[in-house]
Amino acid sequence: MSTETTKQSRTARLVSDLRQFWSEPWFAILTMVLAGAILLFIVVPVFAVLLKSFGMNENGFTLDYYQEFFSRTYYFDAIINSLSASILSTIIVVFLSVSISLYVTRSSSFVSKFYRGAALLPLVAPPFIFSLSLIILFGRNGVITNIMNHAIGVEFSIYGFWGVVISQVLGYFPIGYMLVESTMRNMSPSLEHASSDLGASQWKTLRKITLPLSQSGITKAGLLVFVMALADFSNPLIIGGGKPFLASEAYLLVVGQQNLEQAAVLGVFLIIPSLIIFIFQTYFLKDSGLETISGESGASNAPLSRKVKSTVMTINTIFVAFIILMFVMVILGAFVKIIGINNTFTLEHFKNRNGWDSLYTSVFVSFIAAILAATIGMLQGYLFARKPIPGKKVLEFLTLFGLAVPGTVMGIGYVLIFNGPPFFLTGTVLLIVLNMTFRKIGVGLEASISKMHQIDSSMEEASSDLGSGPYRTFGKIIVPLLSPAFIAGFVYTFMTAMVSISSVIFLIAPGTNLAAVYILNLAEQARVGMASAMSFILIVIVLSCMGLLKYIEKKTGVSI
Amino acid sequence: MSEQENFLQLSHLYKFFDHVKAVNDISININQGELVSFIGPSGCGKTTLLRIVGGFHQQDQGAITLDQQKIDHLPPEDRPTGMVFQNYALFPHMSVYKNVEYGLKIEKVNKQEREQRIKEALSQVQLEGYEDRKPSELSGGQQQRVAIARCLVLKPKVLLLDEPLSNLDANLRMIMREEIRRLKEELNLTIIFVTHDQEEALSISDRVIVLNNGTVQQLDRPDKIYNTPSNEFVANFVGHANILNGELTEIDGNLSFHTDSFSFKVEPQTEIPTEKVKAVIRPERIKIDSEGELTGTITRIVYNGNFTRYFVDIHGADIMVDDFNAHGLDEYNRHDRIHLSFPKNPHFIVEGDEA
Ligand SMILES: Nc1ncnc2c1ncn2[C@@H]1O[C@H](COP(=O)(O)OP(=O)(O)O)[C@@H](O)[C@H]1O
Ligand SMILES: [Mg+2]
Repeated sequence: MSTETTKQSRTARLVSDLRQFWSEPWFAILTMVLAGAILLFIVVPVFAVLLKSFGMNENGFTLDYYQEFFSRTYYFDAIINSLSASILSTIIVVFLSVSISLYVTRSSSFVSKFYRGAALLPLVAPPFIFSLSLIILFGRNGVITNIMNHAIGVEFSIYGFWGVVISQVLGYFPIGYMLVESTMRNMSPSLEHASSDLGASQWKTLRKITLPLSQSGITKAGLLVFVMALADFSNPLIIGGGKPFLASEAYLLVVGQQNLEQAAVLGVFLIIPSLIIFIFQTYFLKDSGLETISGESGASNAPLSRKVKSTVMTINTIFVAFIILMFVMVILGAFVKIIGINNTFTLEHFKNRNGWDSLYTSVFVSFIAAILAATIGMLQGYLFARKPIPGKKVLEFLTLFGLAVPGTVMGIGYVLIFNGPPFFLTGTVLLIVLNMTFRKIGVGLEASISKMHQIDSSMEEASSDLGSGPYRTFGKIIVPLLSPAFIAGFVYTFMTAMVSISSVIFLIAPGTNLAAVYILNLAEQARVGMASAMSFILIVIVLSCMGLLKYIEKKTGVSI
Repeated sequence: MSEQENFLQLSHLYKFFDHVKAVNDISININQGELVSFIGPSGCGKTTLLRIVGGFHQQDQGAITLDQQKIDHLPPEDRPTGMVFQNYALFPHMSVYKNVEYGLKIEKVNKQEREQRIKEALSQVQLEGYEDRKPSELSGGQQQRVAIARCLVLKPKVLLLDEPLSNLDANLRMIMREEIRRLKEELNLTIIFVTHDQEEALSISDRVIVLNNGTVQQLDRPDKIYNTPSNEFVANFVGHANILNGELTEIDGNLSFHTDSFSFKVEPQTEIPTEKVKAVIRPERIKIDSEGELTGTITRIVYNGNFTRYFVDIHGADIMVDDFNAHGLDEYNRHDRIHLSFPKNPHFIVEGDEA
């Protein structure tokens, strides 16, 4: 009987929710348009890839492509390479993140700021820039390769598995590091104090207290880095030396052989781990609550003991120096004729019509995508946080899922869906914009939802009490209050769109080009000078955006 | 100004949340220019009732009329009510001036009139000169004044205040209490004032409504609420009371009240309840008096500054007695035996088991 009544009250709730939902028709319509767009631009493409992998077009359902996949060691190698490179990169990134975080969270010295700044530097560069600098240093004609060749006659090449791992470590490091650092920062210092007070040495405290309490942050960081590395497409292409990796192989299948079905199979193997991890993160890795017991402000973590400090600093210094070396190589590469061979200063690498065109297109496309993604994220965040939308949990899940889908899969999905009728969008700038937008709206959404939770609903009630209808309240009160979330969504989307490649590479038409794709082509052809010059400009653009952001932040006093 | 009786009428309002009867058949009439407060323990439905009046909750049943117009179907933006929120809900991205201007702009009041009305509203709450401040640059009391000005400028027919003073420190609370009272007198405002602080309610209100479990327990002038509570709940919730179970008996034309432990004489009553009744006796109405007819032993003493509370055992009954410290020092010690005289006109309540 009690289940009967709860069922009744649940239907009653749904009915009243629906009525309330429809009482603001514009918001209701907007919500439905958004829901439709999320389905069309995030969910449908992924399903299309899944269906395509079963050949669902001409001869109906078939497992041929899976059979093909499992019968060739080549593809099997791709899985092994992809997984093992990702796992290795993840372990190294986590290890280094902990090492740098340990130092940075316990000191506000110049050295600490320097470590932090350098550690975050890879954020502003396309993820494959490290392949490029590795080639400059250790490639067939690399600076160090040549020296070693001449001096000790060692034949040596960075191309291959280890090149990919090193590039991934450098490229995805900031993402892991930021999560680990913030967890360690939020941990209550008194726990460590208590431990040492009870007589534990610092090593022991680290092992027994600090690391276990940072566990959820470390796990999150690791999973995220793993997913990114698994989906990495450009490093294997540039520095993989022909070794197969899932994402790059899928691309080659599409572009080289027009074998979309086989590519879709590879896509399925890319998406399965990402999906598992995404679900795991969403449902099982909700805050354990352990690391948030903090609360006392002012107290700070105990400084590291001499022994721990020297170990940590050695590791940090070597790593940070390596990051900086990578950037220096690209900058040098951009400004000298042929680095290591003809080191005369030149600007000729910058005289590149196609390059500038592609940069212009990238800025334009990324800007539009960023505006769209931030706007949609803000709208959606407001609607989801405040309105009784039936099924909003599902929609939120799907939106965030967009962040987790490997770019390659999304790219193939877009080709499958939007190539033909009724869309015929292939090769259009619009499709590129849509792709960039919907892959990233999750960030704006999350920022907006968390901001909305900080805005008391009395704010909207006050507005309506003063005579304002719901739409004016949204425009005059909510939008200004959500502007930090908007800016966060905008900046994130813009930065990532500027350097994103794995998805859009499937969508560009001959004639139009995007900077990141163009640089990738140059790097593949080992045209180091031009690739470096273009990368340099890209970095400058992204850095100036960050500078602008800091400026806005200072000027308006809103923290972003 | 002619005062309207029953300016705001709430009739048979109900609001249930799942199984919680937050508002359970409430009918109240409020006159124009009256300050009425809702008091009651936390969760008794004060906020819910206030929000129904403001339009933030839709009642399940019942009707609301204001100034002879039905308003219960209107959304908040169309109701001539003004709400001051507990957290003030000032728009953080707007200056004081913009906050106060917000509603006027929506009403499409022209610029000149806007300026003049904002000036007036800010001067009413004594905030001239703060126009350009952001809410974050104001103290709690000042924020509250802005929130009030923001409502006043729209000349609402009823001002709704939900625990407006609860975020202020004790001193400021006193000041704002006076301030709200002053504004009410000056502008002849009709105000509903929600509070859980009974002292605040008694001191500020024309009438007080005591709520419990979503129902009205008593609606009356503050002194009536205090002196003649309609039931045990009200007696206990508002102030402190000795509540004695007993019977009234008449012997030779002399009326006395008998409890299990003791009895005392009372004045003749117009109506003598025959059943068992409860006598409500405030602690300050029992006098320590050497001529007193009853004697008891002091079991506990609580010093309160302006008065001292003695817990006195009279034949097993525990009685609170408040003695004003007009002479400075404590006069009695624990275990002292003292004589007490009980008031001749205690308040009697006849009721079923409501406590
Ligand atoms: N939006 C709501 N949803 C469900 N229950 C509510 C809601 N608002 C109030 N209640 C419940 O209704 C009762 C009255 O709440 P409220 O009016 O806030 O009490 P008060 O203001 O007197 O403390 C409480 O039991 C509360 O839990
Ligand atoms: Mg309340």
